Amino acid sequence: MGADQFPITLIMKPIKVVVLIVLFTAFAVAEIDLYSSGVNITSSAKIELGRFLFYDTKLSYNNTKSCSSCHDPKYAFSDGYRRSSGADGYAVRRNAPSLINTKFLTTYTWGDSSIHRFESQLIFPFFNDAPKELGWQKNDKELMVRFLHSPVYQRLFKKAFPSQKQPVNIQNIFTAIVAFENQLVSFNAPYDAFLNGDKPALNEQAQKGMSLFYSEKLACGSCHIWQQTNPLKPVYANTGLYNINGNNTYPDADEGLFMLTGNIADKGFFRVPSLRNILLTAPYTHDGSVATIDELIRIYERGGRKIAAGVLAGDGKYNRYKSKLINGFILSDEERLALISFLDAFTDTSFLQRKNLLNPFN
Amino acid sequence: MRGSILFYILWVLLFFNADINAQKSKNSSKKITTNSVYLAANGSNLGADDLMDTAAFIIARKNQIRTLLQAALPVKLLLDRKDENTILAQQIAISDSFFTRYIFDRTTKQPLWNEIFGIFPARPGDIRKGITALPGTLMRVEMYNYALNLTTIGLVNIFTQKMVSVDHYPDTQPDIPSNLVELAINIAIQAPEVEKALGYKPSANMPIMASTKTALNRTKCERSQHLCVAPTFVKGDRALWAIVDLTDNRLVGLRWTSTGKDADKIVVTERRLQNETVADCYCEKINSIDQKGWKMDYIITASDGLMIQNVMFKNQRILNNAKLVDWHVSYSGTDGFGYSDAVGCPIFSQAAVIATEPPKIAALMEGNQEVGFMLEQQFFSERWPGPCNYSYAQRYFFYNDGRFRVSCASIGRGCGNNGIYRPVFRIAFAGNNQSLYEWNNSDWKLWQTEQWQLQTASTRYHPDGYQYRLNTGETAGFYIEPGKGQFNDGGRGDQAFFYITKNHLDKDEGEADLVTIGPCCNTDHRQGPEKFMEPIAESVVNTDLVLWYVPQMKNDDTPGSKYCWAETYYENGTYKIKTYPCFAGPMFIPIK
Repeated sequence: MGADQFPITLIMKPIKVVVLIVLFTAFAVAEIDLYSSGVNITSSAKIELGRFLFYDTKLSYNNTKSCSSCHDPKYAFSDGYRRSSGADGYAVRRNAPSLINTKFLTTYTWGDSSIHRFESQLIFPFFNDAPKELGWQKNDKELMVRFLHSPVYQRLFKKAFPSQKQPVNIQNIFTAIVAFENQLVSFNAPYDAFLNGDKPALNEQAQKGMSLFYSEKLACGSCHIWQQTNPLKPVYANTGLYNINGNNTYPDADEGLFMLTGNIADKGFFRVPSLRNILLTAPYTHDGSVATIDELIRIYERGGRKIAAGVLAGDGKYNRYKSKLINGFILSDEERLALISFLDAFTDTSFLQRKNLLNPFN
Repeated sequence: MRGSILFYILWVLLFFNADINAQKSKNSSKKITTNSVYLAANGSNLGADDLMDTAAFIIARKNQIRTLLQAALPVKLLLDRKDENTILAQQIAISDSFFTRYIFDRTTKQPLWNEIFGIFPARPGDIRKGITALPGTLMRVEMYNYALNLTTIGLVNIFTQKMVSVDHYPDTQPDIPSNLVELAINIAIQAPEVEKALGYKPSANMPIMASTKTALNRTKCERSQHLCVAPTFVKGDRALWAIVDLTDNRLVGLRWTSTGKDADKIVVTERRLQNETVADCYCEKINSIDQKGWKMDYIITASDGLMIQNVMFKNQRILNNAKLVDWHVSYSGTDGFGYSDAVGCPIFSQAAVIATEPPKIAALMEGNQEVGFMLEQQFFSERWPGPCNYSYAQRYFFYNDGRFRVSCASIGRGCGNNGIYRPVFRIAFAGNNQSLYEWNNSDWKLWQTEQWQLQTASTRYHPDGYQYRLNTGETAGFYIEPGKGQFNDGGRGDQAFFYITKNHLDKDEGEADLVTIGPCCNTDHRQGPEKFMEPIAESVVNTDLVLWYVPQMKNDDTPGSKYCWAETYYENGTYKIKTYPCFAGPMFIPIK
């Protein structure tokens, strides 16, 4: 879900801040393993409740947005926009990432390596106030009443949390949504099949693209490590997207990991995203500023993006903090198409066939 | 395990208070009935037609419908214009059994609610081949069937008092008459939800785009199954969409969009003054071009933009016609809301985006050399480039060597900075011996039946850039090169849906002026042309074909990469307009 607004935008009453900090800390430091402990979040009732919540606009203060507004199955649970709109119509700061296989991540969001649990991340879209993504801040009681009043939700909560007297609460909402999001897995891409021994799963062109992908010349595989089931250490990098006025800066004072660490070497560092379903998740990069896969590849070919005019003008190729792996390369049109063909082999839409992952209101 | 307990205790402590309050609220709010008379956006109210309506104008309309359904013919006539011809045209139409074919349920014989939406003097674009009549005697009557979401269009001759032609278009909606626009505005401004969202009670002159059809997922407006419009309120750099279902007469949802931070000062133009001239000279009258070996007629249609027809090159007939049927403008792929827009004549059209200036013809230059000419038409809504106002352009390019290109652009600014434009082109080639081939990496593959295809990042092109080949005879034909950003007009690639359908001479599938054929916001191939492939895809080998081309352009208000966008800026004491058009459309290259 959208995030990354929290550090600079959270404006609320002190008591609420305390509550949220404690809440956040509880998620962040709890030693429990939610997947193997007594908290049985994988139960089907929790998942089903989470599915209803995920797709329900009741989740937003003005009944206009749900999780799926920014994480739509048909875009591999992203939304196709540069930056999503909150329920109040204002854009969030960053591009909505795909939720596929996020259960295997060890940190969340584009530029905050301190968020290790899905539940911790959920606080942002729920409680951010500028923009109001879902708008729970100051509206939480009214929002809870909606679920308390709903016979459907009364039943779903009771079934998911049978031992609780008052199961309709935000803790359980988070737990259920996480239970649902943990079902969003994909291992049926042609490339998965190829790795499992089905060599014809990649056609000749895609195999050429694969050779390029892992070649020393392109070195894509150095950062984009194919995610199997094991949790991966996240990779963050400055890819030379911006270098405003030659000052090595990114726009909107959004310098990624640097904002957390304060380490100048982390300026412009953002998560290297998964390439699963990459052809379904345009536009690309943390701010969605790259519209097509072709444009994205050409930026890497050039060794960084050059913006010729306007307030963002500058040559990212010369950004001091750019990854040393991004030095540019030359591709023929045929090679570029082969590379795209290989990236297409990461496409897995099998989740669209799983009705239990789709919108229950349709 | 210890952490688990700590975690649980924290949760319980933190939310105990909130939950208690919530439970209290639950009990206390039982006394409160729903705070909304109209809003039915969230599932539970769907299908609940008996929500309590308290507004007098809604009660009156529903009573009117009930009365109407008891009449012999359940058709509400359009009586806002009192002239004899419009009344006569309606009477001729509703006396015709084929025109009224669907006003009763075909099985149960129950009356269905129908309403005449428009009666217009037939324009050249409305009159199919073979229809002859005395000048000024043909009238076009448009009727909408709410129950079936079906449009019936009849052409009547008020001199002979006979029906000339009738076509029924399922899942389509005609332009909305002014009384329904007023109704939609009334519903929006009276809704407590709108007042709450805006923070004040709006007045009737505040909303814009109230005549433009819309959709909204998870309501009956989804994929335009009901007749829905969206009176829209601009507030600062946001727009509030009040989505009104005119089939159920209620507000079904509210959505906010961000309209961007660019200045929106109004630049005064004299466009309005020119409306009548444009209508007289280019809507009622066919104009012709004869230059550079090209001959053709052109006319501004009521709602299909600038249409070229009878196009010939070096005395060979190339096109029957080409036109721009719809503009689908989506602001949310997930929620499925936006506008189904149309461009056309300034007179007789409720469409908000109209031709206010005559078409222009200009030379095409490459260096110092004149290589052809361009025919261009622009369309504006009145307060463009302000938020929630639109401008579109159509350009036809004709080259001395026989190439031609059909293109269009959105020139912004629209109602949000997350918009996707999907214009729908209809291109009908001449002749009845056509076949279509697709480049298949190494050779040309024949399409056997009606179908569609999407241009994607992995689409393979012929080494010369072509995606398709249309044979129009034994040796003649055209290669088709979609936009990939190569035409030096700022276009960033078409990502187009491409359809091929068989052209039927015995029924109208878009030859005459088309009503809105597709919903605003489908993200897939269901943009409207697929209706002409159903229910069974027909053979498209050696026959008469129609090409439909639906490019997709995503707008952008990011400094440095603005696209499908417009803004005003201050210069020398005045406001001026800066535009960032997004052009799209295919090039046709003759096979040699």
